[in-house]
Amino acid sequence: MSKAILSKEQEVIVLFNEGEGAVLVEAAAGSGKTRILAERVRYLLTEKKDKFFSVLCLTFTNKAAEEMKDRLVGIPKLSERAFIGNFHEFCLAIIRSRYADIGFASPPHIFDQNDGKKILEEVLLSNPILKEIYSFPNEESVEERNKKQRAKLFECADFISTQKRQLIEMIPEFETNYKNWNEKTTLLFQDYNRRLREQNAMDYDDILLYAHRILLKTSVANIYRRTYQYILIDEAQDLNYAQYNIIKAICGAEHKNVLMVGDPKQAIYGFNGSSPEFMQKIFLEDFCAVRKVINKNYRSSKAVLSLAEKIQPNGGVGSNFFEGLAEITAFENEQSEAEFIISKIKYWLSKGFYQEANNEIKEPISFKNIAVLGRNKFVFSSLIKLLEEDSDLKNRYYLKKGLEKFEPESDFFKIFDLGTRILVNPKDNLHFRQIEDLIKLQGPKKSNNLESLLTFYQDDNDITDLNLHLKFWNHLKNNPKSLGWVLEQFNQVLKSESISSSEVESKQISFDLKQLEKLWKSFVRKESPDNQTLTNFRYFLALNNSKENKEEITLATVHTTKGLEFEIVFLIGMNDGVFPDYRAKTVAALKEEKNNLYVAVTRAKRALYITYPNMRKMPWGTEKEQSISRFLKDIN
Amino acid sequence: MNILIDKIRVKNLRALKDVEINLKTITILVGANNSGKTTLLRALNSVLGITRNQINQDDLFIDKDGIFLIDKEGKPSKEIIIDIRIIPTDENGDRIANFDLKWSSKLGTGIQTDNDKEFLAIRTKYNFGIEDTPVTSFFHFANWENEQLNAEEFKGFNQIRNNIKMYFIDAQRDILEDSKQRTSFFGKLVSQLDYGDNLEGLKGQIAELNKEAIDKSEVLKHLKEELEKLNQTTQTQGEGVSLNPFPKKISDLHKGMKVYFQDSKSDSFSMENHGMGTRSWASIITAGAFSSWQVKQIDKKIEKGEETDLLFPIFALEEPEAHLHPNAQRTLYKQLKGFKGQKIVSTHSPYIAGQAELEELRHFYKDGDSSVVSEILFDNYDREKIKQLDGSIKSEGKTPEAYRKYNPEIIELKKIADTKLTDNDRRDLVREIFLNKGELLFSKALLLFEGPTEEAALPIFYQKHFGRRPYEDGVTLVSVNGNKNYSPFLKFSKFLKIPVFILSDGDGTTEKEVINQIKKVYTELESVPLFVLPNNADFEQFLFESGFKDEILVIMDKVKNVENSINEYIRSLNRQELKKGEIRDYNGEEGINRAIVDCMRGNKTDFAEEIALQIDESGKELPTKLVELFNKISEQLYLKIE
Repeated sequence: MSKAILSKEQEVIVLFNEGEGAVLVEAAAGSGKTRILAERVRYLLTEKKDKFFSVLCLTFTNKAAEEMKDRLVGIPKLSERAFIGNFHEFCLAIIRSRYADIGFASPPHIFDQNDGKKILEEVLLSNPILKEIYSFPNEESVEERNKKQRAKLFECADFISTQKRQLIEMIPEFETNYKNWNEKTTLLFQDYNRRLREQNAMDYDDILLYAHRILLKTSVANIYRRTYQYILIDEAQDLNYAQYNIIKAICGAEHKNVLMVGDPKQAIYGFNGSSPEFMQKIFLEDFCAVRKVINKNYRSSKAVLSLAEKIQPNGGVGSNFFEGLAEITAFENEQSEAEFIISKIKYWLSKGFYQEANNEIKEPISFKNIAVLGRNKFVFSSLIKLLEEDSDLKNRYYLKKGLEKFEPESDFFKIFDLGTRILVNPKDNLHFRQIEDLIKLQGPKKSNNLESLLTFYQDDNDITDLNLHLKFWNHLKNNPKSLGWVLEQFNQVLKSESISSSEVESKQISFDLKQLEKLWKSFVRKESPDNQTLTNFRYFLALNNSKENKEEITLATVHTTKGLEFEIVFLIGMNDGVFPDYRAKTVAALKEEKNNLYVAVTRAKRALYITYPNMRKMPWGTEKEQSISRFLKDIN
Repeated sequence: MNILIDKIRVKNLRALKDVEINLKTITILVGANNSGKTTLLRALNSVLGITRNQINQDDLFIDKDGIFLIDKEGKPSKEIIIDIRIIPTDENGDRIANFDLKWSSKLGTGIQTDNDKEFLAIRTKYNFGIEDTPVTSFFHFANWENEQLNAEEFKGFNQIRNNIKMYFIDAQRDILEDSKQRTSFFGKLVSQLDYGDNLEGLKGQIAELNKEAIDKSEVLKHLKEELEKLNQTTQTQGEGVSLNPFPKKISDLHKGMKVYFQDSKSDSFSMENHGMGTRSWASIITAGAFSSWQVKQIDKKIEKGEETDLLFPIFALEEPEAHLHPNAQRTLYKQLKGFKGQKIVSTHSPYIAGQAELEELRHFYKDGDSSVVSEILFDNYDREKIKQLDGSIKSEGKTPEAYRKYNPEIIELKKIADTKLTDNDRRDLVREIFLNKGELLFSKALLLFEGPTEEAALPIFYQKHFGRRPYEDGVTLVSVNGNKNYSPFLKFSKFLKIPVFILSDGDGTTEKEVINQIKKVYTELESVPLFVLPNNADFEQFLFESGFKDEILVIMDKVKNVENSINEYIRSLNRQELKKGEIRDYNGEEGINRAIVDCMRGNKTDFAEEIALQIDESGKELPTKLVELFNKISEQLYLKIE
């Protein structure tokens, strides 16, 4: 794409100090953050006389990174000269190329939160002194005990995660009471990490932690410092301690060319230790950054903006070509709320564009321009039910998740999926045992690798599930780039025979296969043919948080929509207790909820429909009267 | 040039079963035919060449029984591996810690560190399945020594190739052929012709030139008129036929471009009329011109702030000496060395190899079915290290603990250092290489001895024994000049894996001295066949005692041009001091014998060769010791005796 047209104040920031020095840009929602970043990168890469440097541009989502790359297409050697991606991607690349520096023999693989919890449970059960705190012998009811155990697991996982996000240093092996943690805590932390390491694995927090440890080595930081002479950070209000310190480790004392763009009003990642303090205070101090403010919202129509202004005053409503539309409507119950939304969606789809009187600009509207947002996913249940019943809309919406993981439902694909993990990481004990459980292996425990399973494989035409798995695992082992081919083979097999006798399972299998094929396709689009290996695909799955922007209506919780924009936005279920969440009680928590709402509202470009039901069905069946969100009370 | 490929490792490629070779700014590859020199150049070219040769199935290593290497899983290995390591250097090609900004930006963050020194190393894997063309994949190294790779395949290799390019100049080069081909360096250069601002003027001048040439030539005028008949038949609208002795279109000007070369006072000849030597040389120079032109263009772009790749050229040359006179070969080495970038030259020319620094030489040698590549190592680094450790002992107050701590390493380092060349060794070697015009570097075996008598006599005895001169068998005879000076040659032969033989005097402590030197360098005494002259004799006495008294006396008379010259010798020198504290005693039968040997010793250079010839002519058997020596040589080198 060619150079974008910039407003005066955007241009000032893009060209500020010829790209040099530390700058903090506090930019309100819709003020063109992505545009400013992209144009700054373009300016640096094309206008600087010296061409021998690269730019590091870090975002919080793949989506934002893809958007940036799209805008910069056409710049010579862009992929050589700029790393544009999210923090985890960048850190993972560091780890994968320098794993030896942190004591791994080969690049560690990623275990997700669920895996982590399972390992934690192992830790708690296998150590007598930890078992004490986990077994709850006095609890008589099994249900109650399970509940307490879940809570304990959550507590332990949270503790470990918090420590790692604080970039805890390596705890010496023989330390038994680290930092007065007491013996149990130290043991828990050590054993958990030891088990990960033994399986050549790391958790999500480790990705940042390890990258930071690697960058602490001066000679390594030096390479990145020299290469990335300009660093740009998107959504900087959401930086946490680890992320900020990774940037600092790269920069050292001399590198000051860091530009951060963020909006403190949109800070919503508070639960992972992030805070706008890092950009607003610490960055300003550490880097002596110049602070720039840009308030104008170029995205949203006047109506949307003035509503946002009432939630969080932000220096007035800028001029926008569109008057727009922003209304708050109450409904009798969730059912009638959902019906209204369906009818409005159909109205816009049949109209096909957005246009205002006295304005020539006509903006096309289709599925992808429409989003329904809610504070949590439960507010969508009535709507989803109606959508499923509607033949026109049934397959034209999707529920956006934080991570687009592959979570197979059929045993067949669960086993296949687990097997691919073992193929890329033979040390992966955890998932190997899950396979064993699923296929109910008889006899003595097999040694921890797929070879022992593969020895079962006999090359005959007997298509039992396991033989089919073994055949394709074997093929993948010898041809790491052949997953596409293997999926094709599955398709063939499914056509000719029924793998499962159960109808439900058969359906699940073909659904899972489609899911996997979809993910493989988007992976293939992203990676060059040389890199389409199973290993890379597994990393891709572990970090994938982008979804192709297809012709589908987006249903999303507010947390997952940062940086996105839609012509038409529905913000539904806006009752007090839902938004703000009933658990948000402190001033800080309520402030964050307000930020959440501000983000949600400013996703709308033209029309915003805020809705809420007066009655809501409770999980136990009765209906309960509801009131409007306290944030909207005065506005209405 | 700021970077260098300082190491290349090749596995499973033809005779290169598993070798790691250090490369310098210029590296000279020597060794017999089929020892793997060209394979090394091809290996690198397959990775970085501007016209990359294909590696195929036939290139897999097979042993003498036709069996493939066996991989870790016990299957025949169908994988060829080529590793290269790129390091940052200063202007002299010495390694420094960090890549400069320009190269950093081109090499990317795959750069790794090793003891805080940066490098970028890349593995290229060729995997052969059923098809003849391999599946090629690239990997980054995390660690060069342990061969630790990054799991992820390396995406940016094309980026590296855009900046580091190898020009493979094979043995079939010829400027004449080059000038006909657009793809040659010559062709590429002249197609970039830029006639500057005067394009219109030039056009006019050529038109003028054409007109004048035709007007002034009766023949051409005639031909032109005849050709104009064409116009009548075709009814052309334009100019019709025209005759142009010189190219009419500016863009065609380079097509007939010819290189003329005037040698001293003779006429300037077109290249067609020059010998292959000049044509081959001109072709090499053109390659250099091409890359330096490219570098200039890049500098211009950088100056203007334009996006550009860098260029680090690597020249691979096969036998650049082809068709060239020895003096020209020597000049060629200097010119090559002056080329920008890195040079790797395979050669059979002692003139070229003889010009090179010892550090630049790599010796290829076939051990059974696979190649071994060796180089000469110097002790500077180890000595420096020893000095540091000594310093540590001193700084820790020379306590017993300090000695205990550092001594074991010092002792180990000294042992290693003793096997490597010192600066003095270098002087001795360089002198010898200069004297025998580089032959030493191409020897199949070395025969070492103490002094000039042997030097003069042994070639004659060798020929008497074998029926050939030593150099015909690749055996180089080296007079080391005193029994203390074997070391440099022993080290040299050890590093280059050249078999070595010693014929030593037996007088005094000589044998002990020689054995000491062998042990220090080779550790195993048996590694070097040592022949010591019997009865504590030196070579002169040895000849005398071997029953050649008559032949010696004949030569003495012949050289002095006096009959019974030995009597004259005795008369003038008897009772004189021989050396400090020793008076000559030439009385009696024994005395005369002593006088003969002393006389020989005093006139080594005059007598030795003549005496040897005389012995040869006498038809007598060679002394047993020499026969033993020659038999040992023939046994080790599989030589025939004619």
